[in-house]
Amino acid sequence: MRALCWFGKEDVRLQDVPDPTILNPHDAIIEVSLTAICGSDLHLYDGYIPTMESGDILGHEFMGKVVEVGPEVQNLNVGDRVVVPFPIACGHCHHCHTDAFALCDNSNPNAWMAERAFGHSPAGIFGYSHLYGGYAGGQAEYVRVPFADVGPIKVPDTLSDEDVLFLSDIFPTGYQAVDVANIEPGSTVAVWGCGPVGLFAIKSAYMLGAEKVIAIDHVPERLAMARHQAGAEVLNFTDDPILEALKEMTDGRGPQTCIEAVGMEAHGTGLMDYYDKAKQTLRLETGRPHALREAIMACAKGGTLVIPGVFGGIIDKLPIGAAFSKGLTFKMGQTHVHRYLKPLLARIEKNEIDPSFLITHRLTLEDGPEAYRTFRDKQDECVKVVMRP
Amino acid sequence: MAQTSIHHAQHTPMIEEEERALKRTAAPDTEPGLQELGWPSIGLGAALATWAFARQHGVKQIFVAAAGAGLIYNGLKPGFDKGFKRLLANTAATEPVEIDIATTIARPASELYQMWRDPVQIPRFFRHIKRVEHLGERLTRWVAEVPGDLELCWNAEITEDHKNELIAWRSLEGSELVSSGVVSFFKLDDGQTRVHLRLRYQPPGGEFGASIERFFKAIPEQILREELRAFKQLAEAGEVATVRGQPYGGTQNREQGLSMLTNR
Ligand SMILES: [Zn+2]
Ligand SMILES: [Zn+2]
Repeated sequence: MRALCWFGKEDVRLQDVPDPTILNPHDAIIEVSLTAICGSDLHLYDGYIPTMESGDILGHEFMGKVVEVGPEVQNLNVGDRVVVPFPIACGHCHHCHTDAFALCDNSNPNAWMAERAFGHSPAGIFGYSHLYGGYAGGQAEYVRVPFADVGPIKVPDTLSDEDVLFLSDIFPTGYQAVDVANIEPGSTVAVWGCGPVGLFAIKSAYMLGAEKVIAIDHVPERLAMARHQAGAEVLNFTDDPILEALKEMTDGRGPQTCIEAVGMEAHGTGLMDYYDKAKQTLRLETGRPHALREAIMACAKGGTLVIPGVFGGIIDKLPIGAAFSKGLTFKMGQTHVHRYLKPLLARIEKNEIDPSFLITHRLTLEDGPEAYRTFRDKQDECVKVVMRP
Repeated sequence: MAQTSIHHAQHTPMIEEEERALKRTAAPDTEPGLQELGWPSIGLGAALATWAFARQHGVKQIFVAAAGAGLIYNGLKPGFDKGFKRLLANTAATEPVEIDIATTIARPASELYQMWRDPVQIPRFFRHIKRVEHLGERLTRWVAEVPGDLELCWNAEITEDHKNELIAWRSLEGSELVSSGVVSFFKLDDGQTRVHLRLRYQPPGGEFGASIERFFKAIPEQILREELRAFKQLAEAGEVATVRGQPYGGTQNREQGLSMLTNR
């Protein structure tokens, strides 16, 4: 089959590789019908995530048709059309029992590696480095899906691939960012980053009762999308002094919920940004926490700060004193996608949201290597790339 | 996995029971080394045989050679009796190693106890064990694989068996690996089970090869940690997570370079 493989920094190639096979009794093989490049894939592309190996198959957002099932799979049949969550969860450990699927004890074959890096191991993830299990990803014609009874959700034929693909990651990720903040009706939510996760967070905030959502970015077409498609008030951080603007827009209180949907490669302005960039280049710091610092400073007293974006390692110069003095609550982590599949599919079926609104590029796997560059450089008004194998 | 860690469970109710069982189950003496062989006898026999073959081949030479062979056999006899590999392993020359690890498993203690008592299940999670043979009610024969395509065998006797709670065992005299251990299954308030494994063994000695000795001094704790993890995965999820055998791009053979711990 053909698959997009990682060969190093800024080196993604379309390769002929063997087809995947059933390796464990609860596996299924999916024939991929649609897959996407995620903002967090760009961290791999830019070489910020350690423990990638040359030849690794990329991709954790994908869907398709079941073509083979292992001997112990009970909920799926050949021919079923499914969307697959990006974290791999066993369904039977303590964390899976408490709906914290991204913290599954049993799905990372390299748990010892993650224990060394983080103290404990999170769940395995498709196509996202050996620290997260080294699983082959879904930017391919076929993909092996472990614990097939637990993850994949069957989707009705009345919905198109583009309607449901983003259940695999970015829709639940944006939704969870608001869900875990337990926002009160009438409150204000600020979202840093108007990429796909930020856009879904804005839409989810309105679904969950926010009165006002303020979106912050510097890419004009993303700000336009946040305003026109998602209904946010927008701030461009190259023009506006964000802290003052946010204070003004919230009658001096600051937003009660701040969502940092930018992650490791936040772009900022000013001296601190050069400091972060220099340290990140030297690999002394693995994230550029400009947006996170700003969110801490902006957040209302007693407010909640949510981090759905990927932070892989160590950052510094965090104003922890500000967070402490204002009594902030931090919520962070990978998305427990499985938890949101059914309720969010129901919202799509009821036409409460059309997740395909942010697709800007419809391509094929051949276009993959080029698409990574376009998406990373935010050229060609690129917000979301989907690829048909 | 979140819960595999060195466990200092000083105040759990099980710990005294474990201590008692571990003390009582101490394995028999360490195994002797090659000094057990009759070296003077071997030397004299070898000298006689050499003399005999260096001369013309007469009747006298045949008798001398036969006498030499007899002496050599006598010198080697302890090796035939006790097993050469055992003598090579010479565990008397090494310090005992103790491993103490624990994990929390979301299955009932009774089920985990059953898995631990089942010779068929054991190699599914103890991946360095090739097979376990049932010899009797409390007697099993263990065959382990160690680096360099070597096999180590030992007979183990269960010294304590508290159903669904605790198993203690020790190797019997004549084992190639002198070891003893205790595993306990303790029901926690949240319905999960704490599995606590304590193992004491005598690493094979220098005459068995320095690399084997190094292996037995450094690696087994990591391997056991992974095997306890595999036990948890098998008990909870019904399979051990793996990516071995999946596709990847490029031409290099990655499976070769992967360590025992990586990408199981
Ligand atoms: Zn993603
Ligand atoms: Zn689990």
